[in-house]
Amino acid sequence: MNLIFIMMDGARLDRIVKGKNYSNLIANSAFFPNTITYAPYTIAALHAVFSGTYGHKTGVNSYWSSPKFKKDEYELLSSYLQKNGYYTYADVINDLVLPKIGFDSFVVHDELNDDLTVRHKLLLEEMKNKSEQNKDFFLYLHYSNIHTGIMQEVLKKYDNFSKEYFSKKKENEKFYDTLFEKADEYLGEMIRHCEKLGLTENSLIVVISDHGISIGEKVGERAYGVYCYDYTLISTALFYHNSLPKKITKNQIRSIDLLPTILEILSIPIDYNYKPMDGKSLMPIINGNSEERIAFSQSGNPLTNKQPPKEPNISSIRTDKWKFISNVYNNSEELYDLENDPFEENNVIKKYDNIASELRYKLKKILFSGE
Amino acid sequence: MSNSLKPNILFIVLDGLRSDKFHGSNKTSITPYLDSLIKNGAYFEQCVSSAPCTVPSVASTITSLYPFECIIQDKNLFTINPKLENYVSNLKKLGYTTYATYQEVIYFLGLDKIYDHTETYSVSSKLWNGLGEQIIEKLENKMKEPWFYYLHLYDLHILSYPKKQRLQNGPKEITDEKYGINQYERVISAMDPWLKIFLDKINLQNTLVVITSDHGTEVASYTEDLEDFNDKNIESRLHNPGKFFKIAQKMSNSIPKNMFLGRKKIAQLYTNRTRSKIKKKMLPKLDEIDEDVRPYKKRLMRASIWGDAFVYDDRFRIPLLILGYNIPSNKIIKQQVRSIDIFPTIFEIAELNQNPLGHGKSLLPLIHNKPFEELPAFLEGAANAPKFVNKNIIGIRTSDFKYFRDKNDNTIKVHLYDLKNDPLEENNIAENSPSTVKKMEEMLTKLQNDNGFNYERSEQILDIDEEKKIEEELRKLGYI
Repeated sequence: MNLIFIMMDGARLDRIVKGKNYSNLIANSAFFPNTITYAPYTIAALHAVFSGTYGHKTGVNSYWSSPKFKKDEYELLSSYLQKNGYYTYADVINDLVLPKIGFDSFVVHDELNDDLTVRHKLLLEEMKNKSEQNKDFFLYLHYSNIHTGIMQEVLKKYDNFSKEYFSKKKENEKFYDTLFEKADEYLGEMIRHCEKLGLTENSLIVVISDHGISIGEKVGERAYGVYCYDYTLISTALFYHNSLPKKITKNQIRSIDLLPTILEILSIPIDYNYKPMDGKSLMPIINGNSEERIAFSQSGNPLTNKQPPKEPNISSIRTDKWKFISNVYNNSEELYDLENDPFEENNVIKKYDNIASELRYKLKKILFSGE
Repeated sequence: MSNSLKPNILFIVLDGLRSDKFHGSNKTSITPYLDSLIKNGAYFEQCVSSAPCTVPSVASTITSLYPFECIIQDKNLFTINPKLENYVSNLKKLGYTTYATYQEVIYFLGLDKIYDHTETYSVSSKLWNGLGEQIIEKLENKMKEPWFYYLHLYDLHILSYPKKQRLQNGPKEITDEKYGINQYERVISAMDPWLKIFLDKINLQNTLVVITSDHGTEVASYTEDLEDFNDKNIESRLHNPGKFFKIAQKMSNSIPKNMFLGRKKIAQLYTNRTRSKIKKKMLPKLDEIDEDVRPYKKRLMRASIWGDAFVYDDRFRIPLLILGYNIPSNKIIKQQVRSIDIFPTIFEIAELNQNPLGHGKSLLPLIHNKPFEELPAFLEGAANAPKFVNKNIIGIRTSDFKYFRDKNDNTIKVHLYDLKNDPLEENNIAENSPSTVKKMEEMLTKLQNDNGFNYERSEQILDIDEEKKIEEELRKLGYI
């Protein structure tokens, strides 16, 4: 079976569930709306997805650390597929977002000028040809135009503390909606093209977002990659193939669970010569089991610096009900009751110090596991 | 300014010299020359170093950054982060030729990569047994002008030698009470004439002279009974490896290193075992200290037994004297200043146009009686090498208060001292002064970087070209 992996960079859950094309696809897929990313920015987020392992172990835990990926210790999705005879092709936004390892072709598109719909349809056609030559393929498509809009209209115009930006939340929402509409159209086009080419039967289609994007929720983060709040930590994942149950799982899962899940669906065995990955296959959940998974995330608050930090300075641990955040940059901690306070507005760390202690311990345990 | 108009700069570091033993009522050494220099220059009574020992302190001074920002851990050594700009390199860019003389023990700091010309001397070399002549020769052989000469003198470290060796190799003054109340002060007295000889070799009209230190020491406060107490501790710490070791060492030395597999591991095992033996022998002594001894003395005794590297003033108050080129005489400045301010001051006095590095501020306004806001001094219980790191303490000092705590947890080892009323830091008032603790903690927290207060490891530092490439890519993506 082929793998078509569509990465919707910066797509927010609240828009995804309302998107016309997204909704159609969700209705026919195993959908995980509460997929918690390891990092709320693309570089570390995707390295975690591709290795099934948190970045504090793989070495990729900041915007700067792509070259530090421990390739000898952790096997990547692309390498698994390449070693199993797949033709592997990535069309990416930038050199840093993914390791090139395991890709037969690794191509960087021009997010400002390329028409990604046209470009990616052509790639699907090219893959169709491969498929006809009895060659399985893995196609990674990076939809980067939400980022493009945010980069031009937010990242380059405001800083993380611009009063002007945080005072116009409505306008920010509208702007994001225009970017998302196009993303939704793109996704619809891709799925329809897959159907038209007859690729859906013999391809697993995985659609994920890597992180959310702020529309001005919290001062100090104009877009993403600063804090560990849900508006950026919640990414999504969707598995689309006829053989899979159509199901929405509300419990949280982790982006690191995607790799073992994909391998299980494609019947590719895990290579135990590498260090064990942190993620666990989602197939038991897809097949009806219910289980709680704890999610660990890290981010780097640049504060007033003009560039992101080289090491993470915020770590969080999340369950379906609680989130505990440790802010190393100012020695503070936060605890949120996500069930009753989904927008994380009331820090209840003083009220529930027993919960905080338990989560602090779990967080420390995970952090130490990376040493 | 053309090179011919730029002043030469002589930068003298008297390792381990504490400010109250350089000038003031606590001083009993006989130093007519240093006293005259103080009268001829601007002396800062309350200069605070960033670290209690040489490596982090020197790194901090020449980068104007705090130790956790400028030191990297390169395997088993601390060294200056080679990626950072520093003031000495900037002097080179401005046409200076830079020279340095320092003891070989700090080779790993990487000063040889920073200075144009470096000379090291051995641990046993002291001013009175040959080093003095070596420096005279250096000063007599013309250095290329404008020059910057860094002279780091380790003579006061003789106080850490075992008694017999110290008295044999020390200056004649060390046993003569007329040179000071303790051996530390007597060694300072012995250094004074040498400084006169050195400075007589240079023209103070076109040379800016800075005399300072990298850190202080508890030894400066020893009375006779404490000297005896310390001598006993030094003796106890000495380790006799025994006959078996000596035979094994002889045998292993006869085998070529590359043929002796596991040699390093065995040596490491042996060192660890020795260290743990010494620890076992010394730590019980901490409990033997009499309860009634006053807190300050107790601290000195504890430091003598097991070298607590906390951030008390004994280690952090250093002298700072600036004289020569354009410096007015008879200036005693009481305000708190920091070792990270020294190089920005030199640059402003010498009128060297250069964007300031790090956090330091030029002290020239103070020299000219102009208003200058006191800035808090960051303190770190840093060590010379990773193996000595046992006290992760950080703190902050104003002229009123000293606050310090555990590096990673602001609820552990919290100390607050009222320096005006309790200069010996005997009474920890942290529990009774939560608002001051909060205020000081806020000041401290502001200073940390992305890494908290932790050192970078060299393997975490990307190749410079690689980092530039990443920076370019991140810029394209709008993140920078």
